[in-house]
Amino acid sequence: MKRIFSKFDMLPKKNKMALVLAAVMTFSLIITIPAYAWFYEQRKAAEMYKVEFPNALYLNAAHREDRMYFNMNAISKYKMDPVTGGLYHDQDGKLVAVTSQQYVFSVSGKNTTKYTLQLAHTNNNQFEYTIYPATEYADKDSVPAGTSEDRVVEYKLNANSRNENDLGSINNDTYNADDDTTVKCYVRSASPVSTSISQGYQNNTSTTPMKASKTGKFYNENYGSKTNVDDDDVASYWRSDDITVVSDSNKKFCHYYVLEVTWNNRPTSGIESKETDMVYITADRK
Amino acid sequence: MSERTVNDNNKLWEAAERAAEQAVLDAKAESTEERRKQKKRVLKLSLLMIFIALIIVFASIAWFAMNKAVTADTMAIEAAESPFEIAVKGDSVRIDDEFKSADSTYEYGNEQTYSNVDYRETGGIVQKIKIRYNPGENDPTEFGPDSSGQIDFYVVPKQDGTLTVRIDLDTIGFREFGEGNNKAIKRISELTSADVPDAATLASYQEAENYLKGHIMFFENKGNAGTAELNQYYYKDPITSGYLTKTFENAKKNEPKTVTIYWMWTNTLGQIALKNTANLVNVERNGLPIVADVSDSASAEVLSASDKGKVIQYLKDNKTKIFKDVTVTDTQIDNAKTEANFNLLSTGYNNADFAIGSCISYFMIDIAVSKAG
Repeated sequence: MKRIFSKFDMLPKKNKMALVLAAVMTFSLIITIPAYAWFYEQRKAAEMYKVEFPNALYLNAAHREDRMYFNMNAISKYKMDPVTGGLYHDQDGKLVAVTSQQYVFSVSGKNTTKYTLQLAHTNNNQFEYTIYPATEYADKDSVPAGTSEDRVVEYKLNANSRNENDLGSINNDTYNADDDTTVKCYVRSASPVSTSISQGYQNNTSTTPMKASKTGKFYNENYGSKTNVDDDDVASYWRSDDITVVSDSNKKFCHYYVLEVTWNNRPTSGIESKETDMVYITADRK
Repeated sequence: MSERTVNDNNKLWEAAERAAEQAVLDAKAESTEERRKQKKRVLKLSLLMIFIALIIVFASIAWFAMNKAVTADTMAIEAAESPFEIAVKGDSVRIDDEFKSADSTYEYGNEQTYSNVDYRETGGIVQKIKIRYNPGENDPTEFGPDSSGQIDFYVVPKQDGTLTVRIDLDTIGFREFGEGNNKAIKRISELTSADVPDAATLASYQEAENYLKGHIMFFENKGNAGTAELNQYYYKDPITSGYLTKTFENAKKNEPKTVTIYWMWTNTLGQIALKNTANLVNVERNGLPIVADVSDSASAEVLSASDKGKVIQYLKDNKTKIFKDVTVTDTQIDNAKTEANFNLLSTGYNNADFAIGSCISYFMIDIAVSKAG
């Protein structure tokens, strides 16, 4: 062995390099040939699948229009005209006083089995909020005969207003051209979205007038140890039962809801000077 | 002559003798040099011979291992097959156009009929084939959380006798670029900075593929669909190592052996992580458990031997492939049913699902079968 090494040392540089190269190449051949043979024995089978866009819930205005069209500003004491967006005048040109206003919103999504609706609002104006399931009809003529007027909410579509919701067509929902500005009708159910005993309002101490508790986790979450908060500014939290979804063949669904704001039980004194409330609606996928 | 003295003569003799001695010495030296050179040549040659011999030995071992004996039969020369081939059957290949665009190395396979059943088989130069299926009316076209599938393929022994194969399962992510005629589907692992707007995008795609590999789980057997819903679960025998070994005892040449693999992209974390989904207090049961439940009070031995224990261990071993944007500990996974842990784990799981859905356009389930043992 010593002699081999000494022989190697005696070789000219060129030959040394050649010998080393030859050895390395031989060694790599020794490695690669069996490895190649092993790969050659491997057989593969594969299948491709298209990945769907993440399942999400969309909270939109009526007809899945962008959220900005869910417009609750300036809640009027008088009946509104859905077509002009202004106040409605009767045959005598008079305004019609009402005790409630109704607003349509939609929850849509894909691959969802259940979700809950949640509502949070401050109690400044002492409005009452009720969420009803609703059904969409293409126009007033399609609304089933005998439906009570006060359950029908008209909504004029806005052109190019559907940019947030990219679910596309859903079986139970007619999705029209972008420039469609026809008036759709939404008929709300006779009874509101169900809430069992454990659901409904989570933190109210009284209903009339509505007051939220100034203790407990809802209060602490918002205000921590601060106590000097106006009673009416403490938000009331409401949640629905789980709402079960029946999807179409593409696993999509769209539900419509009417949010009714009433002031029947509103105390009359000292309230007119108040003007602002914050209302949040969220949908939570289960 | 007479002019030379004896002394002169002696001197001449000495010189001649010296010259002769030198000549002999020179000759001697030359032959030593020669011999040394010869030796060197022999050594070189023998080294080379040894190397060549080694190459030949290994090459022929490999050759025999390949079992590709070439036999001459009258006019035709044909290569004998490897110890097995794999085969598929079914009417069509799922999203074949996209498959072609994504990876053109997979082929339909050679048509073969065994016992009057038509198969597409590997063999010859075809080593990669596309899995086939029989489309139904309500087949999903897109796959996401809560999607699952069954893959059937066949190992076709090419020799009589016991055959053991190792089946490796991999999930590969692809991303679609461009539209219309410029559409291209590229393997996430082969993307370069030229394909994406910035390094962060590339990193997010690679991260999403990683989550894809974690979220799609494989199983050997179906669960118990027939029983009451509260006791139902989807699958049995999770394949948490990424491969399985199958032995076909007394296999017969050209008698296909069915291999069925189930995969599932679980919808919610609770289906995997909660030990007992039937009696939940703090969190809600949403969807069937992926494997059979175990008691919350089960001992470590019972748990680790159970399918549920295996999938929980899988969660622990693959935290970075399953949870996104949250730091998760083994203890939190073990105690998934407390509300705080459940919310944390679910958030991480759902974040990862969202990343997969928004970054990955297609995925491929790739099955590699090789001889084992």
